[in-house]
Amino acid sequence: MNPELEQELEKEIGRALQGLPDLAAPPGLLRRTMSALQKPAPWRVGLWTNWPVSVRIAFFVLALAAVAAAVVGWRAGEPGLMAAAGHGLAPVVSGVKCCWNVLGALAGAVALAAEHLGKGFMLACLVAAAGGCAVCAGCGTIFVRFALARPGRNSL
Amino acid sequence: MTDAKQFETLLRNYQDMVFSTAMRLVANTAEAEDISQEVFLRAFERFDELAGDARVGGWLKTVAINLSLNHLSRYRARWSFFSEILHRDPAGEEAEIEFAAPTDVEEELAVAERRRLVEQALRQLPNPLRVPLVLFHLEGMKYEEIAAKLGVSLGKVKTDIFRAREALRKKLGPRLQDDWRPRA
Repeated sequence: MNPELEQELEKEIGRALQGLPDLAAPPGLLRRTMSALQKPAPWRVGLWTNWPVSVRIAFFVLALAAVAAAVVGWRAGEPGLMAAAGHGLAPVVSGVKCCWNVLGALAGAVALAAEHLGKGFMLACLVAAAGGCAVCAGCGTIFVRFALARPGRNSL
Repeated sequence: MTDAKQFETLLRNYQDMVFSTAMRLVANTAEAEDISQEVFLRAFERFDELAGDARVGGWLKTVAINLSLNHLSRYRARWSFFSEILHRDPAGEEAEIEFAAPTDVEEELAVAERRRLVEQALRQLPNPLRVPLVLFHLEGMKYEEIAAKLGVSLGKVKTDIFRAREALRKKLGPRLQDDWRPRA
């Protein structure tokens, strides 16, 4: 296009747009914003140290209970402990024990493999697995970007 | 005056400016209102620094622009692909706003009405054309600043702004030659 015509168009559009006054904000914006400010943020989105004391205590007790359950589950095979836990808790404890057994077996298998195959081989496997994950994530990203891209347009 | 009262005064003074900035960038009333609210919530967090500062208007405008651009890049790209398939008007950008005959328009349409038509034409532009145009003409940014802000090349910004002007001229038709200043 002719540069002079282009400049003329820029001036025309500039004149039309710069003459625009501010739009009136919706009447509810002020009320909505002020009420959002007056409403305190929920405690759960803040730091743990800012949570209410009762909630912090409850959370601590629950965390302790979870750790205790895990420890008990690890030793649940011992007959004395199982008897002490009572019949009511038996299915829960045995479930936890089962999970721990599986994890223990997996850890044992990994340790055994590392022992027999060598640390170098295991490290190479880990690197290969991480590389595979990275390739999957990269391909997924490229696919999404490609699928959503429109020719000749930016990302807006 | 309490902080809340002071902040309410600030909100009243700047709500139109913040809303206009967001509205012209995102072209959606509900989204612009959400963005405006977020701008003021952020302003409240820094109210101690902003209160009494002459640059508060500039700060609010910058935050409004940034949040609007973030909003467009985060959400619009995901949905526009589908919405454009469903709702794309074949005439699209070429459609011209209908005006009454020029002679009647000269006499009957007030300046406010002309401005409404420009706002309407602006809203009808697709995001990639409207956003750089608004940043250039309404926010006074340079081509280089727009390119950096949008993360695109300088050439693309110039091309998009040129295409946006062309599209706006087509939409506004002969009315673009009018005097847009308020009449005495």
